Amino acid sequence: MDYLLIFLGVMIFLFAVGVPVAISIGLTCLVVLVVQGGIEKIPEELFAMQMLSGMNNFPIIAVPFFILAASLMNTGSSNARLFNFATALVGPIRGGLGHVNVLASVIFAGMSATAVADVAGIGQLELKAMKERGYPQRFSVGITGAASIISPVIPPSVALVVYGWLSGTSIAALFMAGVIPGIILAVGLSLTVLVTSYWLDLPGTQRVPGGEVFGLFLQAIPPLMTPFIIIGGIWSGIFTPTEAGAVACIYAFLLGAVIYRDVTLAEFVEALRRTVRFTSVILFIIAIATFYGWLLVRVRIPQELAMALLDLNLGETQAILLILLFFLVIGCFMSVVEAVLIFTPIFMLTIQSLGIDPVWFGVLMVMTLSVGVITPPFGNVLFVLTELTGMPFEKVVVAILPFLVPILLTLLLLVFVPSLVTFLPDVMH
Amino acid sequence: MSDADGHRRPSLVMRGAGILESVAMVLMVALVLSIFYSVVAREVFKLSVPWAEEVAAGLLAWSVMLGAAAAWGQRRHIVIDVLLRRIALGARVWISVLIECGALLLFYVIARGAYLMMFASANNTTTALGISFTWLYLALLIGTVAMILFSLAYLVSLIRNGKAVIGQTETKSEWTTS
Repeated sequence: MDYLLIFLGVMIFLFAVGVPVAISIGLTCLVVLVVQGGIEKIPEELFAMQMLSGMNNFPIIAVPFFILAASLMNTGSSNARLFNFATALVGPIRGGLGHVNVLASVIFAGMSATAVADVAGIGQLELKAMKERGYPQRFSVGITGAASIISPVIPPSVALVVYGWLSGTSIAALFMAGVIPGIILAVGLSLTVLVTSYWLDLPGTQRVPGGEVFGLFLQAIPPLMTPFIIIGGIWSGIFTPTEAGAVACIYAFLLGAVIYRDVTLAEFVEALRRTVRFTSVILFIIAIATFYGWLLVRVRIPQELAMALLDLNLGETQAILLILLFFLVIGCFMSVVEAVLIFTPIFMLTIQSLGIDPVWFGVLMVMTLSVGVITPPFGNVLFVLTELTGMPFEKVVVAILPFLVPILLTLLLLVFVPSLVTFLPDVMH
Repeated sequence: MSDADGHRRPSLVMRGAGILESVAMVLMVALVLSIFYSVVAREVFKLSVPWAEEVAAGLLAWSVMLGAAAAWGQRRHIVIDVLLRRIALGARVWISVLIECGALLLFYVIARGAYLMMFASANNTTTALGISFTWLYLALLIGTVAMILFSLAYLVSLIRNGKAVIGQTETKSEWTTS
C-alpha cells in the first residue's frame, strides 16, 4: 500500500501545481521507479514499448473516429434538423422544450462521444430556443447540462472505448450495455422536467400538424441514420466499433459536404483540426497510462487493493456502492477519461476477485464519473455553460442541482438491477 | 501568437507545431480512409484487406505523436490549472520552469527508450506487411524530440521574458475529455 500512497500522493501534487496530466502520470511512474530501484533501474525501453502498445492498437482507433463524426455533425445543419424534429415530436408536452432538450441529447448521444460535445453542439441550439420562448435561464441551463451526461453513456462513448481497451472487455458489449441506462436516464430527466414545469408553469410548444411532423421527420432521417449505422452495425456484427466509427465519419462528411452542402472545406479542415488536437492529447495520455498500468501491476497495487477489499467481506452490491461513492468524489476533481485511465487498472483485479461483471461495472463507472462534469469544482460542462450563457459559475451549479436527483436515482437503480445494463449484451451474444 | 493573458509564444515553436499538426491531420484522413476501404472491400466486394488494421494502427501512432508534439508546442495539453492561475506571476514563472524541466526529463526517458527500441526491434516485423517496428518507434522518437525542442524554446523564453504561458486548460479547452 506504500506504493499506492506514493502513486496517488505524487500524482495529486503534480496535478495541483499545474503539471499537464500526461506529464504528471509519466513523472509519477519515474518517481515510483526511482524509489523502487534507483535512477539506473529506469527501464527506458519498456517505457517506449508500453507507450507504443497503447497507441498502436486497433480498438483505440475508435476514439478519433467518433470525435471526428460528432465534430462534422456539429458543423453542418444536422443538429438543427434533429432539434426541429424533436420539437415537433415532444414539444407540445407540458415543459415542452425541456423534453425536446432531453430527446435531442439522446439522439445526439448516438453520434457523439462526450458530454462537452453535446453541450457545445446541440446544447447551443437548445439554450437559444429556450431563451426565445421565455424559459427561465436557470431551468434551461440546468436541463441542458444534465442531459449532456447521456452522451458518455449511450454509444458511442470515448470513456467506454478506453475502459474496454484497458480492462480487456468487449467494446461492442459495453456499447450495447449503455443503451438502456441512457434511455432510463433520459426518462428520469424528462419526468423531472414534467414535475418542474408545473411548478414553474412552463407550457408546451404549439402542436404541429401530423403532416408537418412527418415532413420534419423526413428532413431528419439522414442525421437520424447515424446512430442506427453505429449501433445497428455493431449489433448485427457487420462492423467492429472501430469500423463503425470510420463509416460514421464518411457518412457525416457525405451528409454535410455532398447531400446538404452546408459544410465548407474550411469547416471540414477545422473539424479535422479539432479532432487531431483532442485525440492526440488524449491518446498521448493513454500511451503513458499504459506504462502506468504495467507499473501498477509490477508493484502489486491492484493485488493488494483486491485483498484489502476482500478482507472487508463486503457483498457485491456493498462493494460496488463503496467504489461508486469513491468515483463520485473523484469525478468532481478529474475528467472522465483521465479517471478511467488511472483507476481501471487499479480496480480491475478487485472487480474480477469479487466476481463482478466487468460490463456492468464499466457502465456504472463511466456514468458515475460523468456526474463530475456537472459538479464543481472542475465540471467541464459547467465551464462551457458559463461561457455560453454568461451566467455566473455558482448559479450554473445551483441550476443543475435538481437534475442530479434523477441521475443519482438512475445510478442506484442500475446498481440494484444489473440486468438493465447486461440485458442487451447478453442478447447480442 | 499570444495566450489568453497576452503572453507571447515563441514564433518558431508555433510554426513548427503548425507543420506537425498539418501532417497529423493528413494522417488522420488516411486513417479514416484505410478503415473505410477495408469495410467496403469486405462487405461489398467480398475482399479481405489484411493490411488495413496494421496500416491504421501505424498511422494512429504517427498521428498521435506528431499531434501530441504540436499540442505541446501550442500549450494545449490538459492541465488542471485552477491553482496555477491564482499564483503570483513571479512564482508562476518558476513553477513553469520546474514543469518544463520535469517534462524534459520524461521526454528524454521516452526518447532514449524509443531510440534503443528502434535498434532492438529492427528485425521484428508486422504480420501482414512485414514492416519493421523501427518505423513505429521512429514516431515516438520524432514526437518526443520535437517536444524536447519546444520545451527548450519555452525555457529560454521563460528565463528571458519572465512570463509564463499557461495554455489550453481544463477550464478553457475547446474539447475536453468528459
